[in-house]
Amino acid sequence: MSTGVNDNELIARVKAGDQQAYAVIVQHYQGYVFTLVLRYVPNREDAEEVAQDVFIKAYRSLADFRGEARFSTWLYTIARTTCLSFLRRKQQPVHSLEKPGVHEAASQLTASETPAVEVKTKNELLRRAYGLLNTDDSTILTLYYQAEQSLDEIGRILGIEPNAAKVRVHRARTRLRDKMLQHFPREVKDLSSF
Amino acid sequence: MKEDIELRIWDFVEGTCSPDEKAAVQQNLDTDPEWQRIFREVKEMQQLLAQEPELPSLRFTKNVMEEITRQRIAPAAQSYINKRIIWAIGIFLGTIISAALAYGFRQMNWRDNSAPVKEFKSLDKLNNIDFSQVFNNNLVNGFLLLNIILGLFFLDRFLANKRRKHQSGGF
Repeated sequence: MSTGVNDNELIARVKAGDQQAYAVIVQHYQGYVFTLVLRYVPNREDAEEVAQDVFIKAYRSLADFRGEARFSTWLYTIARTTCLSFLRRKQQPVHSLEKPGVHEAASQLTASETPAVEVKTKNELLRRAYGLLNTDDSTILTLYYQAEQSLDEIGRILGIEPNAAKVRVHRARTRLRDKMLQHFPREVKDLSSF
Repeated sequence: MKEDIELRIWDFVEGTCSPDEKAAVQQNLDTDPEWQRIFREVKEMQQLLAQEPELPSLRFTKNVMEEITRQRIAPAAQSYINKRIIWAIGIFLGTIISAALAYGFRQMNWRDNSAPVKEFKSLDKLNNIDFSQVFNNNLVNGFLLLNIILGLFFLDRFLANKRRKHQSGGF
């Protein structure tokens, strides 16, 4: 995943003073960064503010990007740390895998307790199912499937070994499917032949 | 069991398994209805997961670029680490260690001609050193304190560097 024009080429231009080249980067990555931020900050207005902050921080730190990894991996690392700082400032809990009771609490929610909004599209179904996952699970799935990061790259972003990333991806997938079947059985049946 | 099959099929579908494993999974898929059912589930899930990312407001790029015009790219972290200071600290530490070693060697009696069976006698003499006198010495205490401070300083720098590398992912 890149901007089409080589990311490193664009970054070299930005470093040389061509600020408009950065607009191409922002335009390309805004969706990926915004989606990733949404996993931590569900409020869209806040998420947009944080996503903007991510691009501004990335711009200011561009001299530290040496091109040894993909630009997207570097950018998502900044996105993650920015989200965590934002949540710390706002003192919102991050529902980590390590936090006891998160899964239990989520699984105790019955289908009738989830807001009764009709789920018509696959996108909507997925978005709402992500909302039922803990942040670690939704983040790792977003990085793997939407931001197209490899297990090695996810390991770099989250500070874990690639093998651990693989296990976490699989567990997150399983939990996501369970949540969908538990909370949206009719929609799942309609949208696919589960 | 099902989880194991599922994981193998995921690897197969995503092309992350070895050619041998791929052939083995393919064989199971050709013959086993249970494997075929799980395969269908995995494919559906994979398609569902591969959705387009959500988009922010239309003004997003414009907002970022407006803010960017007020910003400057900061110099790379490596450029403002003064290597001369690191060298100076290293030389200072080396001097302290050398001084401590020289002091220790001076306390030893190198003219001991004892038989080999008594080769540890010189070490016995080390035990005779009155350490309470040595460590009461203000100068030595000062050196020790300085060493501790420098040790803590280096530990702090080491941890800070580690954290920075971790945050930037070693990019």
